[in-house]
Amino acid sequence: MTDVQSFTPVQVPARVGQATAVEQSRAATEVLASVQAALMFPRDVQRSLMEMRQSCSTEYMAQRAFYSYRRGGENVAGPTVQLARELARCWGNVHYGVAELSRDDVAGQSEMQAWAWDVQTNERVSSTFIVPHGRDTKTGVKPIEDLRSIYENNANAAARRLREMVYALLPVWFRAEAEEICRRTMQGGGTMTREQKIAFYLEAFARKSVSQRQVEAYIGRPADAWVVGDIDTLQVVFNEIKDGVKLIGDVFGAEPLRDADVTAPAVRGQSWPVQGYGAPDAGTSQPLPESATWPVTAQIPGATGRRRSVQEGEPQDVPPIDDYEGGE
Amino acid sequence: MITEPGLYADVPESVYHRDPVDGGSLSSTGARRILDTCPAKFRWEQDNGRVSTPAMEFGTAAHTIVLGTGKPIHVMSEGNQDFRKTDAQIERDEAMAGGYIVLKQAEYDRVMGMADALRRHPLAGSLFTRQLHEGGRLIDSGGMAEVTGVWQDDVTGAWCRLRLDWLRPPTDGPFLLPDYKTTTDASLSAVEKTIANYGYHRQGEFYERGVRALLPGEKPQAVFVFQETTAPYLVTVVGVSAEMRRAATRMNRRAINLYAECVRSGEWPDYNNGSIYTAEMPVWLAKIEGE
Repeated sequence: MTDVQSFTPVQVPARVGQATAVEQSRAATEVLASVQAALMFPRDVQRSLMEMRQSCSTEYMAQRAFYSYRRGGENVAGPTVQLARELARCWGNVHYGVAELSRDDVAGQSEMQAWAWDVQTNERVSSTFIVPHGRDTKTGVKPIEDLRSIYENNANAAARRLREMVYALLPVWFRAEAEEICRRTMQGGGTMTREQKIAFYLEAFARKSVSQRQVEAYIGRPADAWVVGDIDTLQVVFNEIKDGVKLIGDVFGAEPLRDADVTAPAVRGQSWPVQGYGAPDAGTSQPLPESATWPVTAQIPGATGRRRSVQEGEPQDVPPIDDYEGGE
Repeated sequence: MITEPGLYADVPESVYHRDPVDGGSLSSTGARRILDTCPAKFRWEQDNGRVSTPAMEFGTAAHTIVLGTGKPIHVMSEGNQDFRKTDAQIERDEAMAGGYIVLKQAEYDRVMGMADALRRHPLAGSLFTRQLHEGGRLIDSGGMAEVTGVWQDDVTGAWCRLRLDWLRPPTDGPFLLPDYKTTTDASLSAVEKTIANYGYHRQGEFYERGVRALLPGEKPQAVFVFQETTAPYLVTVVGVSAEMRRAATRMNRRAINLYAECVRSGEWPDYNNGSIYTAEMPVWLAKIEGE
C-alpha cells in the first residue's frame, strides 16, 4: 500500500528570522505608503525632463552612459545600468530592485528576480532568471564557490536584467533624448579637436601597453579614418577599462599580423630544439642536398611518363589522412 | 612510441596519424571531431582511421611538393591516364602499395604550377623559405617540414600532439606557424567561410597552445596560406582576429577537458549520451510552417 505523505505546494523556509518577519510586515506597509505618496506627489514631467537634461549634460554621467564590446566582428553598444538608474531617479516615482529568490549550492545556481515598478501608474515589470555560479575563463567555465564571488557574479547578472526592466518601464522618448544628450556631451566635452582626441586616446592606450594597431583593429579602420562615433566608442572602452569593468586583455587581442611580420628575416644560426624520432622507418623522408632550391620536389619516379616499377625507393604506408579537407 | 614531451623531426606521417604517443593523445583534428561530432565517433575514428577522399590525396601531393617533405610521387605513365582501364588500375595499385602518392599527368602539372606560384608570392614564398644562402653558400636550413610536437596539457594532464607543416627558424618578427591549405576558392570571403566551417582557427590555436607549452616564453601565431588548385593558383595569406582566437581558445579548452574526462572515465558517449532527444523546430522551418 502506498504511504500517504503530506504535501506542501509552496516551499516555505523552515525558519523565519526576526529580521525577515520585520521585513515582511515593513514591505507590505511600504507598498501601500509608496502608492499613496505617489498619488499625493505625482511626477512633474517637465521637472523630470529638466533633471534628466541636466544630469546627461555632465561629462561624468555621459562617459558612463554607454557600454561597448566586440562580438561577431562588430561593436555591440548600448546604454548602461548606471544611466538606467539615473533616468529612473529623474523620472521619479519609480522603484526598482533585484532579489535573490533562492540559492542552490549543489546545482551551483541562484534564482533571481529583477523588477521595476512605476508606483504612480502601478505598472510593474519583472524578470526571473537563473544565474549559474560559474565564470567563463580562457580555460573553460570555472565554478565559483566562495561567497563573495557568488555575490559579485549574481550582482553583475542582475544589473543587466535590472537595466532592461528600468528601460522597459521608462517612456522610449525619455530614454532616447537622454542618450542623445549623453552622446552630444561626450562629443562636445572639452575643447579638443578630433585630431587631438585621437592623439589623446592613442597615447592613453599606449600607456596601458595597447598599441595603435590593436586599437585600430578593434575599431576596424586606421586612426586617420576614424569618425566621431569611433572616438565615442574608444571613450566608452577607455572608461570601462579605467573603471575596472573590463580587462585590457579581454578587449584587445594580439596585434593583427602585417606583411612585414611575415617577411621578417631569420636570425642566423639559431634554431629550435627539435629531436629526432629515431624510428626505423624515419629515413623515408630524404635529407635535402645542400644545393637544393626551393621548392624541393623529391625524386619523382615516373615523371617521364615511362611505365616503371615502383619497387624503387623505400616502401611506405598508405598516404596519410590529414586535416586539409578544406576546399576541394 | 613517444613518451616524453618535445618537438620531433622525422615522425612518419602515417605513424603520426596512428598516434605515436604512449597511452594516446589528442590532435587538433581530434579536438575538433570530439566537439563537432561526439566522443563515440571520435574514438571510432581514432581506432579505425578516417576515409581518405581524392581531394585529400591531391592536398597531400601539393603538401609534398610545395613543402618538399621528400615523399615519393608517382606520375601515371602516358597511356595510363584513365583509371577505368585495367592497365591504369594495375599501375595505380602497384604504386599505392609501394607507398607512392599517385597523380595523373594533369594533376602533377597542376601541383607544379601551384608550387611555382607559391614560391613567387611575396609573403607565402618567405613563409616557407627553406634555405638561407649567403654568397651562394648555404648557411641555414631555414626551416623544417612536418615537425611533430607532443605535450601534456597543464590543466588536465591530457597528452596532446601537433604536426606543423613548417617550423620556421627564429626570425626578427613574430614567431609564425604557417599552415598550407589547398582550396577551390582563395577569395577573402571564401577563406573566412572555410576557416569557420573547418575550424581552422581552432587548429591554429591548438598549435599555438602546443608550441607555447614546448617552447616556454614564445608567443607563436598561426597563419594560414590558402592556395587555389586551379590556374593561376592564387594565394591568400591569412591570420585570425583576436575574437576568433578567443573563441578558438574556449573551444579547444572544452575539447581537451572532454577528452581528458573520457580518458579518465573510459566512457565515450554518443551524440545524446544514449538518451532520447526531442527535436525542436529550426528557425528556418518555423518561417515556413510556424504559427
